[in-house]
Amino acid sequence: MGLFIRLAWRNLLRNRKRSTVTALGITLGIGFCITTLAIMDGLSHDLITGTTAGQVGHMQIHQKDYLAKRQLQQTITNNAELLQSVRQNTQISAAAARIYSFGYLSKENKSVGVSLFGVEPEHEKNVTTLAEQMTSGTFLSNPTPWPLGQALNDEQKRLDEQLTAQAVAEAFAELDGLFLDNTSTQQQTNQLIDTLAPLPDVPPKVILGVKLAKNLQADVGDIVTLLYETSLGAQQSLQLEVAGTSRQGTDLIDRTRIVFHLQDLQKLLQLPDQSHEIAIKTQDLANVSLLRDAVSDTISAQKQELSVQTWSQLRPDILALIQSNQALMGTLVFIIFLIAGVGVMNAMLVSVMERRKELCLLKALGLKGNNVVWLVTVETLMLTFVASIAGLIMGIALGSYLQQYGWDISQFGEFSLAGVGMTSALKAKLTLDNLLTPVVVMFIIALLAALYPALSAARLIPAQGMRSA
Amino acid sequence: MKQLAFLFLCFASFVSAAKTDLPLGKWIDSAERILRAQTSASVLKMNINKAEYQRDFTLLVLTDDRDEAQKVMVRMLGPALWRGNMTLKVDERISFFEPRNKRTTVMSSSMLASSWMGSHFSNDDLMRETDLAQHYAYSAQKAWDKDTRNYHLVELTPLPSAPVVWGKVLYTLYIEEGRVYPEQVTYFRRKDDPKPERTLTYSDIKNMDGMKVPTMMEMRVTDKPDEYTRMHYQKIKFNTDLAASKFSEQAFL
Repeated sequence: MGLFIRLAWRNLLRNRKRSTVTALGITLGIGFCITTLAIMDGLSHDLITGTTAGQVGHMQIHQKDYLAKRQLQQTITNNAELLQSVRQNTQISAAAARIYSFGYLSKENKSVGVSLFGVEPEHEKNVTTLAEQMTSGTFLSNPTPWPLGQALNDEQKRLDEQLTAQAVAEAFAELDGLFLDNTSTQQQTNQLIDTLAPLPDVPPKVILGVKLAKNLQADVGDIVTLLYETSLGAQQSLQLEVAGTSRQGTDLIDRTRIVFHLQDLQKLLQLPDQSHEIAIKTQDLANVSLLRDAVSDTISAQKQELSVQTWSQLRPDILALIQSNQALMGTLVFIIFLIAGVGVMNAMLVSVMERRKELCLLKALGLKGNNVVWLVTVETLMLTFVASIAGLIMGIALGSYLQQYGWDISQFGEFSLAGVGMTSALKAKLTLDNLLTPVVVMFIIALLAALYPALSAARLIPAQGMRSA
Repeated sequence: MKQLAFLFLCFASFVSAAKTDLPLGKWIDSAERILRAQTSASVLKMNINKAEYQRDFTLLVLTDDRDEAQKVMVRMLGPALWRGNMTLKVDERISFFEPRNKRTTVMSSSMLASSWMGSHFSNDDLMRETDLAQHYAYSAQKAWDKDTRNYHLVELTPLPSAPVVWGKVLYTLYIEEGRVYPEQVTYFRRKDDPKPERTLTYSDIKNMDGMKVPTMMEMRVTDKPDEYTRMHYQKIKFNTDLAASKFSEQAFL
């Protein structure tokens, strides 16, 4: 063995220029592959964290059919109790309930259709980066003091029916040209509404999407008016105070989203102790599927039909994007290796041809065919080994630079992929896998590339070979 | 030039008369107007029956079609949460008034296609923006007699440039004592759809303000056979001289 290594080493050094060029090919191949894989992993990682930390969380609980229809009434009914049982799982680092709805927001004579998003600020902070997306003002903290709505008692119900009859009578009297004062009807009605859906003591604080705020020309501290439909189907309007603006990165969200405190939106929509979604952050994203089953078991004890889904089930498009990215990069890496492999084969073939005479002599002296194969293979492996070390150094250097500083792509403008707002610097992510895969693959390709030159060397017939030279 | 146009008009009417001898467009127009006349003021109960909820409303609906710009005002009379809510549509402009905060919101006409107060009727249906007597071509499909009624089934296909959402509408109407009554209207999303998307049925003929009119309208969606919205007219006054001020945002206050 030692002899072979010595022989191989000497042969490699004999034509330094050629060996260096071949080695350089391998070095560059491995170095760039490591960098490419690291960038790709960085991108996938960014996409996953962008998805999970930006909006989705690691997994979510919904009422069974909520995702298909997204109806206001399809809620998780015992929100607080469910949250408590979910938070007891030590594998879960945070869980936050949310409510969604739609409305019509206006300031002075400007109106915009908006989406309402109710969150628990103290828990949402631990699940997503919502609180860090603020561009001005302050994030939400406490719910607005707001009395709870109550159903009408029998007496009030009778009064309501009586008022309807009165309103009908008034309407017809009005048509017949009689003037009737209906302010008392409306006053009594307002009292009933105050029982059913009381108003908050002060305008609830909300966070507007940054583009929404700009379109409405609303600044922090301004009062805006929201027209919305409660879960009972009544259209009502309410004044809100702008506490701040946020930039999520996705155009649609920045253009239409208003963030409420969960309890405020529960009262506004009249959905007490209900939510549409519970977003969960786990301790370890890699084990999310296992944990999903555990959470699924926990909540199956509940009376209602709920479903739990991981981020990849909720956003299959992101997963597909990552997979297609990986396939593309894999193909690219394979092509690089193929070129490097052909280079190695060429170099070894030339080196074998050059040394035909001496190989023949060795064979004539008794070196067996498979020993010749071994000799050429060891040469190739040694070359690859040296080049791999250089390639690794290059890959680590380039990769860690990109991991540290990133590749600034902000010149291409604001960047969002499949609705996930991305940072403007593309950051690489070096992993052991990324380092070892190119090296291992390179060795396999080098071995395959050595096979042909080695076999053709082994097949040399000593008598002929020595004479022709 | 005027004479030429007149000649052309004569010719055109001759051609259309030759194609069908029935005044289908006129019938549809009369049937559609039966609850509206020139102006109308009606009190009706709306009963929404959906899988998710049941709701009952009492409404006052005022319409005025005397001018170019159709005007509709819907005021909700009960129950409490809705009482005093008003929706006004003049031409393309829809505004909504909420009495507790005395707040008026002007909405874009894109809201027309969305459901009105969670019912199976769209804003468009309630406000009658799309006129079946205007944007369609008519062809008689079938005619039959039952009791004293002379029934006709008319197929409506939208004119090429018509701003409508339906690909085909089948209109069943009947003529009794010289008056045209609507019986059933089925709406097809596309012309070749085997099943209608929704069906509107008129029934319960009663005497209102000296005229016989259907007082019950029921809308059903084919996909959800258990759901429906009914509008039951309690009282109607036709052709009163409604003041223009009733159809302005000042009427909200």
